[in-house]
Amino acid sequence: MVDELDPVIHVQARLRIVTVLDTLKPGDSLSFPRLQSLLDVTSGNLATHLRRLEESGYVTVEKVLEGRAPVTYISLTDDGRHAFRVYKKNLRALLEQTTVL
Amino acid sequence: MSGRSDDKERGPAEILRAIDAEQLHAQSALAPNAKLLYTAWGTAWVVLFLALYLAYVPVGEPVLPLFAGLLIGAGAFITAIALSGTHSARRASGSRGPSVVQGAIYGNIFPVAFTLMGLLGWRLTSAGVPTITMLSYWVAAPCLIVGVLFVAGAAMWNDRSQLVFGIWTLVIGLISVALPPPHNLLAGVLGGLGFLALAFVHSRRPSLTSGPITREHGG
Repeated sequence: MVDELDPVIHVQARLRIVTVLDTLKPGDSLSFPRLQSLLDVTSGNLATHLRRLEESGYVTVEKVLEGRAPVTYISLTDDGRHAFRVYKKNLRALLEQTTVL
Repeated sequence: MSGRSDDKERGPAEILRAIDAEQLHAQSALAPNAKLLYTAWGTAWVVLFLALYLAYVPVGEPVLPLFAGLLIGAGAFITAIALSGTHSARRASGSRGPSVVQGAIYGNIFPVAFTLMGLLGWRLTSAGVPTITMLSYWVAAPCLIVGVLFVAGAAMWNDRSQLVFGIWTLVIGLISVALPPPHNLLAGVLGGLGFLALAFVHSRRPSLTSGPITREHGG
């Protein structure tokens, strides 16, 4: 039914990640624990899906030192933001199609 | 979007609804709680200005000594600063980037402006302006600072709650100038009651008092 949608985003866990990151302003990022608590998922699950999104160029994962502790920050790239817009546009188009039929 | 299944099982309408719900959840978790801030500042204003008012009326035989009025007022004000500061910092924790820097610059301009306001007040009092006359300054000047900064914040962040808060504060500033001291202090009490009313409205119809002023198109 919705096969032509971006397969990277069209997995519920990854769609949720992209959806939350899209609420940030361009250039802003969220720490891994904060993103995890917002999504209420396990760290292993989040890491797996982030890796897939990073490989597709949709998110950037940056490790920084805050004091002595390493913190991982995640942000949506321009490509990721664009892909999310296109994904939503295609969903709306599909919805119109199904409504007409 | 609480399930864990693949989206191939869901229709477009369901996915779009889930996206909207997830974004709303994320935005409310990352932004300060407008109801809490309205309540904290509404209570602080009512207590502060009522305590000061009771330290001046009835004229010649006030209900409270001035020292007690100032102490109660300062306590209410400091409590509101601590509460809203801690809450806002907690909501911003784990965030990084230009918005955080922008927020820090904006947040730090408040104490700078209030310090300048205090120094100017001290200078005017030292120059011989009577304390009772200075009451017009002590109500209108903070309203001006808070009102203008909040309206500017609303313009910067496209934020309705800051716009409502800022405009109401400026209105209270105008009313306070129209009233003779010490009755101008009642304008501050009215301002606080207005914030408490906004907290109530926010709990019933949040779209009226928070969220973006103008919606982004094509998202």
